[in-house]
Amino acid sequence: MMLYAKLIADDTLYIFLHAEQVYRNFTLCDKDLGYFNNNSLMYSSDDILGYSSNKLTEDTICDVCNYFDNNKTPNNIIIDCAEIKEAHNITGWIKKITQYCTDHKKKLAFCRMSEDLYCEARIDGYKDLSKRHNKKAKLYNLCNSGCTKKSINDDCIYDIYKQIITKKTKSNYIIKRSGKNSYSYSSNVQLPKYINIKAYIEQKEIVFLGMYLLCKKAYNKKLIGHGKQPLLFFSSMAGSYLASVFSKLACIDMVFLNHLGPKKKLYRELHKEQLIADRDYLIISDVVCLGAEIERAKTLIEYVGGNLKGILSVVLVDVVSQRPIMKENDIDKIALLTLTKKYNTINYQIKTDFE
Amino acid sequence: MSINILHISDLHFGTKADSDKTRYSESFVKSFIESLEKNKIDYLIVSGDIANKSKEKEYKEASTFLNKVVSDLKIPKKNVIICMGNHDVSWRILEDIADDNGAKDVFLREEKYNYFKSFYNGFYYERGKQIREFKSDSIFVTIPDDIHRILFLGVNTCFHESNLSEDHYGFIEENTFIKDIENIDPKYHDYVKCLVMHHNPKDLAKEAQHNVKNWREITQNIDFGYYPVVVFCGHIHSSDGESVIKSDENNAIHYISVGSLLQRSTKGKYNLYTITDDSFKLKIQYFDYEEESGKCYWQDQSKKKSIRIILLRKRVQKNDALTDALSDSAEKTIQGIESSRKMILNESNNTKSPQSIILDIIKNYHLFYSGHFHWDTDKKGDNSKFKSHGYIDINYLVSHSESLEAITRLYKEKLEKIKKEASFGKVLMVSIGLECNVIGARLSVLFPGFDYSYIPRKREKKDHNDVEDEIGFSGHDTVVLIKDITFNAEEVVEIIEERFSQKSVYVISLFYCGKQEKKEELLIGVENAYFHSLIDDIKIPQCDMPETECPIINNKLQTIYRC
Repeated sequence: MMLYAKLIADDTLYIFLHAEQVYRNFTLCDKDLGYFNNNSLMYSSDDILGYSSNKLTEDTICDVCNYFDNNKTPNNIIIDCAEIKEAHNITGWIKKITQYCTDHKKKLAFCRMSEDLYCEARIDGYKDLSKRHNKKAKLYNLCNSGCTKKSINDDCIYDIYKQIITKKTKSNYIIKRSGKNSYSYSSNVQLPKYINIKAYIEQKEIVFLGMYLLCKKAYNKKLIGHGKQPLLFFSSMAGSYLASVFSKLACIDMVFLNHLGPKKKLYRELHKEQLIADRDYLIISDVVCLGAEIERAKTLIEYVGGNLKGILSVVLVDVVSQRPIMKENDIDKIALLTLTKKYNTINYQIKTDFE
Repeated sequence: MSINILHISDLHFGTKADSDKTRYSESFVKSFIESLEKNKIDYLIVSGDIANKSKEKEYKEASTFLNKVVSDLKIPKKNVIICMGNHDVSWRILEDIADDNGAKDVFLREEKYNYFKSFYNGFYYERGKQIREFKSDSIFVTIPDDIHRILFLGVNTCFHESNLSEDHYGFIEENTFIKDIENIDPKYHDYVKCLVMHHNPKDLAKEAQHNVKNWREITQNIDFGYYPVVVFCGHIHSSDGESVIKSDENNAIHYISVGSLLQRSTKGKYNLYTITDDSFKLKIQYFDYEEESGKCYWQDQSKKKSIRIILLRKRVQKNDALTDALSDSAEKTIQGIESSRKMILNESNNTKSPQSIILDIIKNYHLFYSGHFHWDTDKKGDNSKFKSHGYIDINYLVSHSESLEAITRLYKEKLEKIKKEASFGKVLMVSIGLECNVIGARLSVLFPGFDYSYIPRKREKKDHNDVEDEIGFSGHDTVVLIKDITFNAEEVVEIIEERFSQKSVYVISLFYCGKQEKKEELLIGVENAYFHSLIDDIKIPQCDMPETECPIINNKLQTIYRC
């Protein structure tokens, strides 16, 4: 069984228990929530747990333990317990993992364990590093042999992921193009380096964690999970994959029009009324570069009386920092990798006939 | 536009002697209004027990409060429904009447409502006009919402209430109630009936005095015309919901109660209902007033409740072949299509499988379109390879979580079954087209051991970047192709022959809409390829007539759609 959300960097394996759990919850809806029953029309889309789930189930714990049994792991292991409030048989699985680490001489840290979980765990022989950190953050670093002095927080994880995705983009996702082949499909510029997000999607171990982190960012910015839920808009093939996973994590519905852009036609006239007035929208896309497609989507959304609240993407190329849609403060722009003129780690280029 | 309905109840405005029993204060009212300000409230329901002892002073304070609420939240008074509760019945007046005239049938005395009546008429008196006058009828107010086709009905359940202990139960005067329902203007026949009453007819509290004692008899003898029916009530100081399905899933009555807003004995509560702009869902949010260590705030407790969404009705169908003007020559064709449509949508009467759920959604939301559809962009007009007279709105099915969950479940079950029966080696799962990619994305999580990719539909290939047509994997023994609708599998055969020859290929299509007798032959010419479909119930006739002869095109009927 693979893990959905792990990172390996600098001889350290990071396991995100909450992400593992929410992905395993994709299968829970039918049997555990009585989803399909005789009152079939009475269900609610909010019944699917999604990102708001905070209970670690036995399946997840077993899979994490099995991962150690079946895979070679780095010397350092960090298990992030953020967002988990309850865990089935916590003492049992902590014991199992620590036994593994002891047997294989690995260094282990649990971090961001909630106070309740920490009390329930009743772990002996661990050095509590929490006293060194701000107690209000309820940060508990348990380390059996002082492996890490780093404090783990969301920003730290986003940075590590960004480094990994940058590296992958350079090596795997960039397609070099020249001449006629370099013309962008959606706008009238040349892209000598095309970012192939399909290759990113085909790498499950990267994309699942990426969607989880995107969901986390959106949640922390209160775009989802608070009050009236927005609709998730997309209009491309890559966008459809990203939206489908994100919508399940965020427990929101989707709206899509097949292709929207200056060089593409709207396929489905039948579905032009899919856009609903008086709703908030998030747009999800693979790569936001010139933003032309986003602006068209925004116009469409606002035309029917909706409100664009956020733009989510894997890569955001901040081409013109003063562009109006980028400046609008009530539209949040969230990306896993943002490229700017100063931070252009993949040497991305956009060309026209003019300098 | 969607509408929001605020439901509060059991205010129990009391006198100074009751001041420790209420949380009514300036700060509370401010907090209450602030929690709602971001919503546009279209209707306010106050389901009874406005006062504690039906006294004038109590109603004066209640009036101040309610006027502030409607003013600050900009709710038009005509959209406010106030019903009386058992505490709005004046015991004092009835005791005086009993002293003078004896206690027999004292519950029948209209005077019991006197103080409530004054309050009611005063509240609805605005700018020199009496917007509404108090009535003690079984149905004392009827408010239609024509845009969303909802009919609010205020119901008097205090018919039997009096100062006598044996009269403490909810009761609706049956004869007049049934007559009033039957006499509802026929134009409201298909409106969703939202009944507002004080007592809780579903017996959520399981005590007889909280019931509407004759509710069972009433609902057995009455036909509300259109179902479901929604009942908003109070009285039991508890917020929750329950649904009762009668004969089939559409014939249901839903009971939603809200707790007391102001009584200190329980947490302050209100419910907020949102009816979506296409009028087919009623979403319920239950709010509690939390008071913790000096901090006070309103908390959404909906996740703990039994019902959070009610399906009210179907999506409004914009186009209907039968409403178009027909010529004689076309009528036969249209009748044929219509009878096919009725025949096509076979509903399963068994327990609700995912197939049944999807078919119900297609039926209830009119996701099956009649019309003339060209699916092949390479060949136009008469040379078009494929034309049909029907279409299933897959876009809708995969956009909405309810149907997408059912679809994902179907694919998952089928894949698990195939996996058991066949020997899968290294598996690549490929979705064809954008809609299938939405489904495939979910399956890629459920089957993490499979590699996953996607390609555009052949007819849409030229509208996509060439990279999207490439698959970055190789070396797989088994390929699973995810498809949405299959007629004759020509596209799938081409894909298999171009990309996946020498592999075991399993095609799983959500719908097979071609002729059932041809199903086994779909992939007959392709070695090691197997076709599976999840729903075969919907058959869509192909159009094999030239355009010049097709009556749908000639008479400009229904949707004429060309890719």
